[in-house]
Formats: sequence, structure tokens, C-alpha cells
Amino acid sequence: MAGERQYEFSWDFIGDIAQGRPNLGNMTRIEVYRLFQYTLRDVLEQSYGTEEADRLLYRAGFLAGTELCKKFVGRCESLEEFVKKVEALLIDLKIGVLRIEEMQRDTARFVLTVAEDLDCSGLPEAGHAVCNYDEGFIAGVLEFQTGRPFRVREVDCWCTGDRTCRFEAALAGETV
Amino acid sequence: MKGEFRSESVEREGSPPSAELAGRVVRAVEEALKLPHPAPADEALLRDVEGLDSLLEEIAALREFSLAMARGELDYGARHRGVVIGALKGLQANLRHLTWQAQRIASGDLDVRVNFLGQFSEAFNSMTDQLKGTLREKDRLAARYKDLSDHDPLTGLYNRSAFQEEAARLLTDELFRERSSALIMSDIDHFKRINDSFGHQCGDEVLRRVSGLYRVGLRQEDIVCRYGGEEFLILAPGISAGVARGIAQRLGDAVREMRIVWEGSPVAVTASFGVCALPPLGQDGFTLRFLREHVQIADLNLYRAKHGGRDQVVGGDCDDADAGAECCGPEN
Repeated sequence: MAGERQYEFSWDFIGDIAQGRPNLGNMTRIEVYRLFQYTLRDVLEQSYGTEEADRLLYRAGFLAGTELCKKFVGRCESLEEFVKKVEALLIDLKIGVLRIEEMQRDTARFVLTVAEDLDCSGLPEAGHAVCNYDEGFIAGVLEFQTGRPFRVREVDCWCTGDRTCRFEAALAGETV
Repeated sequence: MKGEFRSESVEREGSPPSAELAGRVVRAVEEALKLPHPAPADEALLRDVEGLDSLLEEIAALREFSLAMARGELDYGARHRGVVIGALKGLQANLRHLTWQAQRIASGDLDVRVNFLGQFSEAFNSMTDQLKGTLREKDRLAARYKDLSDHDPLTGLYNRSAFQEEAARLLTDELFRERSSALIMSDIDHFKRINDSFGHQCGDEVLRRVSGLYRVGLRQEDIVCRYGGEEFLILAPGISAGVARGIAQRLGDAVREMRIVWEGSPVAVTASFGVCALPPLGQDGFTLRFLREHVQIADLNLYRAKHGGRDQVVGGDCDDADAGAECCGPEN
């Protein structure tokens, strides 16, 4: 990349909200979040095409999942304890309701759902899944705890007519 | 659009009017939804209705998925999409998550909680709370019973079997396993005479008071048990027999100076002590035989103290801990 980077992620970009928003506080509406995501997505798609835009969102989600765990969860003794903390965090931050459906320790395969998802719950049926950001986010979360690279694929989404988003995760290089 | 009827294709000459055709379509859909074994809609007439085949196929998929869910087949993979199947997938997801939660409970994690499943969540969470409470009570009772089974009820000291367990734990602890330790065997002198002269209740009081003195006179890491009637056994880990001899002498002084008055009469109490060095654990580690052999030496030294006139300590006069039993054995 040419030149020095200006936006390498740091929690400094989140800023001192108490100081910066003494009256409005640290909450905003989901519409605002989605407006941001889907306008950005629109521009990314126009600039790079749908597939690349999806990949970029995946990468951004991965970074978010990793950074969020680094800041709020930390590595845990056991995967179960980690999952419990992440579940609680996602509810606390109103990101979604994470539920593990299946965890195969020997093959490191996971099936999990996110209900009331921040990105897609309530969107009209589009005939395809839209939660690429969430896919990356979950991959980042899993890699943070296990130290192993995961590939995550959304198999059911609100936008495919389902009522909860379902993700399958497997070690990168293996079939999801 | 999917499912739209091509009216122009069915209103050709000689074909039934649209109302009749619509009625047949409705019946086909109704049968697909309600009958256990719907007949395939293979009337030539219906074949011309665009989208009907795929609609019936989706209904069939919905039937199969619903039936699989009713049978409890939680791994059933539904390929079709849409709100109705999506809602069923939501239910399937909840049930699969509950299965996972139940597996967590089975593995001993009672902190699992189910959210957002209405009354079921409340019932499930209440069940885990109850289970947790029951297990907590069981643990409390188990600890209480263990405490009762480990301690002598009169003196509150360890009994012999608990002493052995504790000795094994202490002597294999990395803090002590490579160091010498010592055993002190103690016996209250003329205890039978105290019982005969003042009664058993007085004898019990003497046992309690002597136990109390031993408890406060020892280091935190030392352990003491009531070995038999009026006999006590002390393990002092990480110290030489010479140091243990000094401890025994202080305990003997404390017993002699103890003032007990029973029904107006003073009760004179003294105790005798036998000391034995315990060498660091060898290759075999801790064995009951190792402990028994050294207890026997401490006991023989105690016997010598008794025959030497009581109220005295025998053993531990040689401070060579490595010499172990030989140093403090009866032949010395």
C-alpha cells in the first residue's frame, strides 16, 4: 500500500464518548447502523463488484470480532467459558443472540445461530444471505480463542426467508 | 412472478372456465397441505398452471420438514427457503441450541442459561437453578460427612485414617518431599489412673485439654491425630528429629503446667513422647508401609520414655535427619 496508513484500527477511533456526547450518550438507532453499513456496501459494490465487496465486509468483520474479544473478553481457559462470555457480550452490546448448536472438538467444526441479528433481522427476503460482516466477525472470534484460522459461511439468513441466521464454521482449508 | 397463473393458457377453447380451474388448484394445494398422502397433481389440466409444480414441491418440503421436526430429527437439513420454513428452522435452531445447553449441563456446567424462549426459558433456567441448589446442598453435606468421618468426635483431632491421608498429601508436597520430617508419638501418663480416680468424664476432659494444647502448640503445617485411646501422633513436615524433640519437650512442659481441677480436686497430668526422624521420600514415594515403619519406631521410643520414668522425651537426640530411623531407633 502506497503511503502511510491513516486508519489502521485502534480503539482511539471509538473515542471518549462520555466527553464527546455528553447529551446524546453512547446509543443510536439500528437504522443508523444499517444506513452506514448498507450505504458503505453500496459504494463498495459499485467500486469493486459484489464479490469483492462481500470479501471486504468479511475482512472488516474479522477485524471487529478480533478486536472486540481482545478488549472485552480475553482468552479463556476453556472454549465453553469463552463462548459463554461472548454470548453475554453480544447480548449486552445488543449485537444479537448467539446460540451454539453444535461444537465438534475433534474436527473443530461449529454450527451456531445469531438471532435478532444487527445486520439483517427484519430485512426483506432477497434470495441470498447478506451477513458477510457477521461471517468474518465469527471467524475473528473463533481464531482469537483457538489461535487457528477459521472459515465461516452463512447457510441461513433472514434475507433468505429464515428467522435466524445460521453459520457453519470450520478450520480454514477445510470444507465448511 | 413465481406462482402466477397463466390465465391465457388455460382459457383456450374447450377448456374449463377459470373459476373451475382455480378450484382444482385450490383443492390440489389443500390436499398437499392436509392429507397424509396427497395424490400427485398430474391432471393434464393442472400441468398448464405455471408455478403450481414448484409450489406443491415447496409444500411437500414443508410437510417433510414439519414431520421430521415432529419426530425430533433435529439434524434434518431443510433446503427450501421462505418465511414458513424459516420459522420452522428458527424452532429447529432453538431446539438444537437447547440440546447443546443440555449437553453443557451434563458435563457439569450449571451456569448455562437459556434466553428468549419465553416460558420454556423460565422453566429451563429454574430447573438449572434447582439443580445447582441441590448439588450445592449435596456438596455441603458431603463436606460435613467427610469432616465427621475424618475427625475424632471427642477431641476434634484427625482420626488415624484421615491422618494417613493428610500425611501422604504433606510428604508428597513439593515443599516437603525432598526434606526430612519428624514423627512424634505421645501418650498421657497414667491415664487409666485418672479415669479410675476421677471418672471417665474427667478423663474425657483431660483428652480435650491435651488435644487443645497440642493443636495450639504446633505449627500450621503440622498435623496431629488421636491415634488411639490416650495416644496422639504428630507429623511435623520439613524439620529434623532434633527440632521435633524440642517441640515435644515444649508440649510436655505445657501438659505438666496445665491446671485441671475436677470436682474441687486438682488433676495432675503429664505426657511421654517418642520421636522419630522421617527421611525424604525415596523412589517409591509415599507408602503406608513407609509411614507404619516409622510410626513403629516413634512408638518404641515412646515405650522407652514410659519405662524411663514417664514425663520425658526419647528420640531425636541425634540431629542427623538423613540417618532417619537408625538415628532415633530404639537401639540408640
